[in-house]
Amino acid sequence: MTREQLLRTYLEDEIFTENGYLEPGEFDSFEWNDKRRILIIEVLKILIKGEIDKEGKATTVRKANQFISNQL
Amino acid sequence: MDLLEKIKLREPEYDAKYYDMILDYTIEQGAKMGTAGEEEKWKQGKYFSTRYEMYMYATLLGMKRDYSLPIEKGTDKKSFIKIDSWKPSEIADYIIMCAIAKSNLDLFELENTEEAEVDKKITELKSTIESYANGGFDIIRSKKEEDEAYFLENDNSFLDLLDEK
Amino acid sequence: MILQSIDLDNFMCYYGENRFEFTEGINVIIGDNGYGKSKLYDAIYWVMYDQVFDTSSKEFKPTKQLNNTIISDRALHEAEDGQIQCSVTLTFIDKRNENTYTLQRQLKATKENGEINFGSKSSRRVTKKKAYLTAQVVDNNEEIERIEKKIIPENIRHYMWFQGEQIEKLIDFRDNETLTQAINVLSDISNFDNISERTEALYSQVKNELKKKQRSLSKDKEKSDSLEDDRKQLERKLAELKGQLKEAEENSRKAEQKSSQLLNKLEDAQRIRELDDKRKAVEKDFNNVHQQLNNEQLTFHKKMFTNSWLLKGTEELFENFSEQYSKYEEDRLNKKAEIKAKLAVENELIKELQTRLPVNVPEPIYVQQMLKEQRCLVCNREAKEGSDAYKSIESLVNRSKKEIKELSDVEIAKHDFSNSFKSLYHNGLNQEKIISRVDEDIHNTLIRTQELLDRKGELREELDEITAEMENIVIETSIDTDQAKNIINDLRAQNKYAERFNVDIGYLNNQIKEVEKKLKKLEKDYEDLVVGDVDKGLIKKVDLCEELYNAATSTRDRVFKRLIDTLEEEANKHYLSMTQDNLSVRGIIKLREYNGNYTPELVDENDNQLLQLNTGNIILIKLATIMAIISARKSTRDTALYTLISDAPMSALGDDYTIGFCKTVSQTYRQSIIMSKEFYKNEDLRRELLNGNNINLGKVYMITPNLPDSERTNRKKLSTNIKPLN
Repeated sequence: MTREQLLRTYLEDEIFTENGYLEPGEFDSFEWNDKRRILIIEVLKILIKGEIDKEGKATTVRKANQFISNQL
Repeated sequence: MDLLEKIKLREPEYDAKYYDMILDYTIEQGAKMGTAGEEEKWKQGKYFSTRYEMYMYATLLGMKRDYSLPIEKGTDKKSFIKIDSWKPSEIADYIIMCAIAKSNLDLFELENTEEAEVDKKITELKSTIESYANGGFDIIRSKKEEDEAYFLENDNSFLDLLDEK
Repeated sequence: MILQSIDLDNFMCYYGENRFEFTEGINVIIGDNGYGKSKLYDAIYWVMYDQVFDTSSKEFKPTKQLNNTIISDRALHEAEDGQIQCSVTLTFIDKRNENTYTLQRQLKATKENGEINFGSKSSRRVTKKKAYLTAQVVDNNEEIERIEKKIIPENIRHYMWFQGEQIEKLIDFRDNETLTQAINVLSDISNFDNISERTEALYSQVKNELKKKQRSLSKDKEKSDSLEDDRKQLERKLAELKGQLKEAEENSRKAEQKSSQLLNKLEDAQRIRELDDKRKAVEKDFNNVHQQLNNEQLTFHKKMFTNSWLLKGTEELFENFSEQYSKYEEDRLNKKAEIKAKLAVENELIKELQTRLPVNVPEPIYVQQMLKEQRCLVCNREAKEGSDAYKSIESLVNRSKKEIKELSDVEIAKHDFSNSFKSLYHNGLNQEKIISRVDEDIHNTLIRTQELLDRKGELREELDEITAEMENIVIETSIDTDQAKNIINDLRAQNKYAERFNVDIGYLNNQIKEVEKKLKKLEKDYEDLVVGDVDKGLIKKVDLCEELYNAATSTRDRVFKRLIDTLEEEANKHYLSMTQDNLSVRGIIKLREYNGNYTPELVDENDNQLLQLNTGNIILIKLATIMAIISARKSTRDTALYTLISDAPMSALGDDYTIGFCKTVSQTYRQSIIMSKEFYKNEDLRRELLNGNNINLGKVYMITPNLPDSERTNRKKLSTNIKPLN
């Protein structure tokens, strides 16, 4: 799967519509470089990228953690 | 301080010669968060989780059979923890109540005695508990000598002992 | 790649030079038991993996352990002193570029004065021939690996090359690993698993940050530090328990697996399988009851205290205390009455004093003046100190200080122990209620324990019956009693292990629950200590990571479930195709979930499980599923690229389904090679195969041993006849 396809698979989960991050059905056409920069999705992207690039688990988690801290 | 609170600060003692017998039937070794599986220990024939539990048992056994055996002067004694830490507290309170009943104290008179005298009475109460416990232990000891297997073969042995007259 | 031909020289029963040629479509090797069909499968396996199948232990073993069984006995017998050689050559062709690859494995032996010495190592030679050019030897290991991968990739090998006996195990979805493996072959979900792990790690890290912050805001640092220590200790214990649990589950799985393997070695595996399933169910019940019994016994002695059994028979003591207490109350009341009366008198006096002259009339300074002058300023009379008049004036000074006293202002006694006594009395009252029911409580508990004991006994008997039945079948179907004995003993041992491990698992699960409960309470205590507000940002962070973690977990499950659905759909396609010409009830395949595992079942239109399936049906379902795993793979066209090779897959199918199976296989795979005995005896079936429409038929061979019946057991004269039927 491409990174984008992987992301879309996750975005299909109802958590994203329930909490108002996305509109229903939007996941299907969501682009990796979507301009909105929704926080939870940005974090998800870091994790996905880490997995695809075979980055170490600890490194990816640290990056994600850092990112959230900077944004909040 | 509340009278009951004061009473519960006391640490009853028992005749040291019963130390081993108590260990035989108790799981607790003073350990904190559960050592070897309780199931295992139960299988080894341990009946009580803590020493004070067996003490409570002995006390009630003695009181029920009205068998008070004051500990003789000069006997080597041991104690464990104050009554306040005994659980369940309802049982501990019940024992105190029974001790008061057995001692035939005039409760109203007690209220009119001096502080020092009240403390003396509390000590007497503690002795009452100790005497009945001592009696209870004696009953257990004699049963054990009479019938080695009594406590080993029967899961409900301690329960049955309560029923005996 | 397509397998074009196989050349066997002096390989097992194939004395001399032998050759099979294959094309696309379904190629069938027909022969009775023992004629050499399986040896053909072995030959292919031997070339590729340097392993031979050991019929007594029913597993593959490396060449050097079985080197004396590989070379043809006849060749060994007839050869003169010197070297004897056996080899198998596989020729593959890559249809895209018409490249041909040969893989040849050789084993040598030397004969000296009649004594035979087997080589312990075989050698392999790989050649590559580009179209229109000559063949070149390939000695680059990487290239050889690539060629092997083109022949059959490792991850799908088990579902493309298998013996009939392995079908059960391949699709034994009761084994969680088999299922996950199959799903991963269907479509790689490791990404999802890994990302789930990462979200979990992130969530956990962020939660710890919050805890640290909470700790620094704690209103009782000492207590929260001690709680933290306790928490760490509990978490360590939890991790330890979980590790032990994992180990026990692994051990249990292994024991069950071994048990399964042992069962598979028998011919009548199906019957035993059913009994085994029954046994497992009964065993589960048994463990349940055993666990409950343990709990009852553990809590029994605790009830002495928690249920107040200890207090039985002590009602009299409470009665005595009640008397004391009521006397106490009475005494108190009396005393109160006494004091009240006394007060009433005193208060009267005070009231009287106050009504004579209102308070502060005359004002205190005047009264002081009067006292000083020893003279009443009102009536201007002398009031010498000590006289009644003087005293009267004095009392005026003090009167404002005299107040009406209420009962509550006066002490009834030196101490007030009423709360303690009341508390003891009420406690006794409560206990009295409980004590009245103790005998009943004990009785019920004992009954319950007895019931559990009885049930345990029943289940134990049932288990023993089933085991005995299974052992009987083992004896009936085994070749000799020694083998039967060995298998039974091994089975017994494995089952005992499995039982023990399952008990451990139950016990560990309980302990884990206990610890988790304790941890939860700790968390609460911890939170209760926090005073002041934790940074809102940190809380948001935790919430976000929790959401992410949940999303990842549910996504992974969703993806997994979808793959199961895909598998189910595809399996049904094959199943339908295979049973098309059969008029008996068919049903639909359903992958049913039980405790996180999936088992293939056959259901009717109303989703009810069809029971009373014959063995043929069951094997058919499994074959359909095996085929689905490969054919449903989205990323590649495996069925077009690789060959299905199967030794006796139809032996359990029965004649009815055999043709259907062959037809479907021929349509699903570009090339397949099937060894079968079904077509040997049944001539009609054979005709149907050869003339069949809708069957994409490749080459069909009949093999027979070249020996007069009288000499059947003499392997020194054995060679094999290969007869092409089309």
